[in-house]
Amino acid sequence: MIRYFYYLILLNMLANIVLFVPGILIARRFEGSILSVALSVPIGYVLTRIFMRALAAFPGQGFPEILRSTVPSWFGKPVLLLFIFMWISAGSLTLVTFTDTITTFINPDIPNWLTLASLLCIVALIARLSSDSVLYTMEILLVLSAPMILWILYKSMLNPSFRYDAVFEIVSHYRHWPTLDTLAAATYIFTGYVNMIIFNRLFGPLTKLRFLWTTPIVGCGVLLTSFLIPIGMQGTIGVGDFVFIWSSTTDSMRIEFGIVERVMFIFILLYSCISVAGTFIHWHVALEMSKGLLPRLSDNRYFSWITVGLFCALTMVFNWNMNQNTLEAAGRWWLELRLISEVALVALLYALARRKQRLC
Amino acid sequence: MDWTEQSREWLLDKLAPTEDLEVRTLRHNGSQVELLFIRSICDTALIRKQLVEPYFQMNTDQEYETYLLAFPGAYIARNNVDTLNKMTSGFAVITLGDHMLLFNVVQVKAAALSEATVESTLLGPQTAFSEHIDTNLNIVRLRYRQSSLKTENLEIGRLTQTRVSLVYDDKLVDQGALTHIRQCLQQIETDALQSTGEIHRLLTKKSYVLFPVYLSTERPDRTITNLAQGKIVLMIEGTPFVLLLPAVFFDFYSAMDDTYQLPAVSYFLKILRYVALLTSILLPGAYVALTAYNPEIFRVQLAMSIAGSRASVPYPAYVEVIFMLVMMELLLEASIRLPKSVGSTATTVGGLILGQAATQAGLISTIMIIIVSTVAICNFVVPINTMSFAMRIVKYPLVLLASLFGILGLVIGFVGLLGYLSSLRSFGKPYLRIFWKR
Repeated sequence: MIRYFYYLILLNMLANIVLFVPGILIARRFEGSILSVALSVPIGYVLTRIFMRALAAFPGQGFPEILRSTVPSWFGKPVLLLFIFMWISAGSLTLVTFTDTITTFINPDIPNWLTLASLLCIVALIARLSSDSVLYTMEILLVLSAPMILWILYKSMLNPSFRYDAVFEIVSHYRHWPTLDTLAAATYIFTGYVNMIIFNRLFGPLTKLRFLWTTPIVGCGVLLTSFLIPIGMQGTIGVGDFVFIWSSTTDSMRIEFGIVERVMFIFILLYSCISVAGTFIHWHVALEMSKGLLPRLSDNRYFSWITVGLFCALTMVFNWNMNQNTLEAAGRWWLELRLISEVALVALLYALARRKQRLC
Repeated sequence: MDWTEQSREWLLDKLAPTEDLEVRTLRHNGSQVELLFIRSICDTALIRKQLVEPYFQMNTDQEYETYLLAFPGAYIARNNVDTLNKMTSGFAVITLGDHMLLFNVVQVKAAALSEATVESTLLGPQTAFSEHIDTNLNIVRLRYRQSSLKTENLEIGRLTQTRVSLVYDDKLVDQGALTHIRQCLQQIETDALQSTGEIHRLLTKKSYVLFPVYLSTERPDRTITNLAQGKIVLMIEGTPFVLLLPAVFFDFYSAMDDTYQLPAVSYFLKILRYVALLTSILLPGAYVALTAYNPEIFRVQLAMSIAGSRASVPYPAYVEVIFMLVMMELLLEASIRLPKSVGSTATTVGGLILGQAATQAGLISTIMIIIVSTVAICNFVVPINTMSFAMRIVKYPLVLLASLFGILGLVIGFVGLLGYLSSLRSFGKPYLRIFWKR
C-alpha cells in the first residue's frame, strides 16, 4: 500500500514536462537554471520530510478532517477554498497545455475545445470514483507508461546526434544565481507528496518511509534529463527557438526498424496517459476537499457530478481565453504561486501537528 | 462423559453445521447405536442394506459388531483425527457403547461424467460437472477432503423450486462475503431459475453491468482450486456450471493450464493471453485511427502498403470495420446453432465469401480480413466465456471513439475502460488491482 505514495511522487515527476518546467528552465539556461536544479533537490526533500512527519500525526485523516479537528471553521474554510483553487488550476493547466500539443501535432483538424472536451469527459468520469479506484487506475497507467519513457530517455542519450559538450557548456553556468521562476519550476518535480493530504485516508500510520531517500536521486535525474536532453539534441542556442521543446526533441529521434518511425508519436501518446492520470489525481483531491468544504451538500447524489462539471466548465472557459503567449505566462505565474502555497501548506500542517502533539 | 460421547461431540463440532451430515439413531431391544456419515459421498442403499437392516435382525450389540467387522474396510476407530479423515473419505461411523466402528460406504459417482466442452485443458483432469447437484457435491467432497467444507441448501424460484447449494471451506472463507451472499440469495424473487447466468443477473441488480463479477465454470479442478483459496461455490440443480465468487479480473484470465505446466511455460501463456486481450480490443480501433485519421504515425512503407490495399474500397474505414466486425459476430452466433451436418459447409462458405469474394469485389481490403480474423482468434484466447463476450462488446465503443477522435480517442477510451474496471468491486474486493497478493 505504501507504494502508492511513491507512485504519486513519480507521477508528478513525469508530468513536469507538460507543465512548462523544461520551457522555463531552458529560457533561462544561461541565467541560473542549473543552480536552481541543484538547489531544488534539497529544498524538495526537506519539504517532503517535514510534510510526511507532520502527516504522521494524523493517521487515516484527510485535510478537511484535520482542519475540522484542529482549527476553527472561520480559518479552515477559506484555507480549504484556496487549496481547492490550487488543485483545480493544476489539473486545468495540465489539460489545456496538453490539448495545445495534441492540436498542433496529432489532430490539427479538430478544434481545440473539442479535443479538450473529450479529455475532460474521461478525466471527469475517473475523478469522481473512490480514492482507491483512482489510485489503482493511476498505478496501471504508470506501470504501462514508465518503461516506454525510460526507453525514450535511453534512446535519446545514446543518439549519435546528442552533443554532450552542449550539456557541459550549459552546466558551466552554475555560478549564476537563480531566479524565482526557475526555482519554482525546478521544485515542481518534488511536489507529488502534497496529494497525500487526501490519500492519507487510505493509509495507516506513516511513521517509517524506508525508500524516501531514493526520491531526491530519481528527482534529480528526472530534472536533469528533462532540462538537458533538449539542449543536447538541439544545441545551446537553437533550443531557445522552439515552442514545444520536448515534442521537437523526440521528433528528431528516429526508430530505424520500428513500425512507428518518429518517436514523437510514442512520446505524445504516453504523455496523454500521464497527463490524464495527473489531472484526475489532482481533480480527485480537489473534489474530496470540496466535499469537506460543504459537508451538508455533499450528501446529495449529484454533488460530485455538479462539482466536476464546474471544474470542466472552468477549464473550458480558461482555454477559450488563452493563446500560447498568455498560457506560458499563466504557467509561469502558477508555478511561482504553487511554490508559495506549497511552503505555506507544509508550514501549516507542521504547526497543526505540533499543536496536536503538545495538547495530547 | 465416556470416551465415545466426547469423540462424538468432537466430530460433530468439526463437521457441523452442514446440511450433508446425517446423524441417525437406531434403537432395538433396549440398546441403541448411532450412525454418523456425510450423505453426499456415501452410498445410502448400502448403508440401508448392510448397516441399518442387520441391526434390527440381530439381538446383541456384540453380534452386530462381529458381523460388521467381517466386512473388508471395517475396523475399530483408533483415534479421533483418523476417524474424521475417514468420515470425509466416505466412511460411516457407528457408535457402539464405549468405542466406535468405521465402515466403508463410499460411493464415487464418476460414471455419469462427461468431458469438459467449454473450457478444456491439455494436461490435467478432463471431466466436467454433471447436471445433477448430488453428483457435483459428491465430486467436490471426494476431491476436497476437509472437515471444514460446509454446504448449505436453498430453494430459489417460485415455480421451479430449484435446489441451490452454497459450498465453502469454513476456515478459509471470507465470513463477510458469506453473510452478504446469503442475504442476497434470500432476497431473490423469480419464477424460474435454471442457470448460473440467471443467478448472476439476479445478484447484480443494475442492468447495464457488462463485466462478469462472478466466475462460472464447469470444471471440478478449477472449483477445488478456488475453494482452497477461500471462494464460495454456488451449485445449481440442472446445470453443469457452478458459480465462483468473488472473482476479480485476473481470475478470468487464468486457465488451469497455468498450474499444470512448468512455470516458464505458464508465464509465457499468461503474457500471450494479455497480448491477445489488448489486440482484440484495440486493433479495430487502431486500424480506423491509423489509416483514416492519423496515417502519418506509421512508417511510410507500411502506410503506403495499407493505403494501397484499401485503394479499391469505396467507403471510409470505419464503415468497413463495422461491416466486417458485424459479419464476424453473425458468423460466430450462427455457428453455435448450426446443425452438425451443415456446420463445416457453412463455415467454409462464410470464410470464402467473406474473405475471398468480398476482397475481389473491392468491398473490403485484405488488411481488414487479416485484422478481423486476428481479432476473432484473440477473442477466444480468454479462458472464461462470459469475459470473452464482454470483450467482444467493448471493442465497439473503442472503434466509435477512434473514428471520432483518432488515436487520441483510442487512448482516452482505453484509459476510460481502465478507470471503469478499477471502480468495480466483487464483494468488496477490487476488480482490477495489479500486484495484489490475496
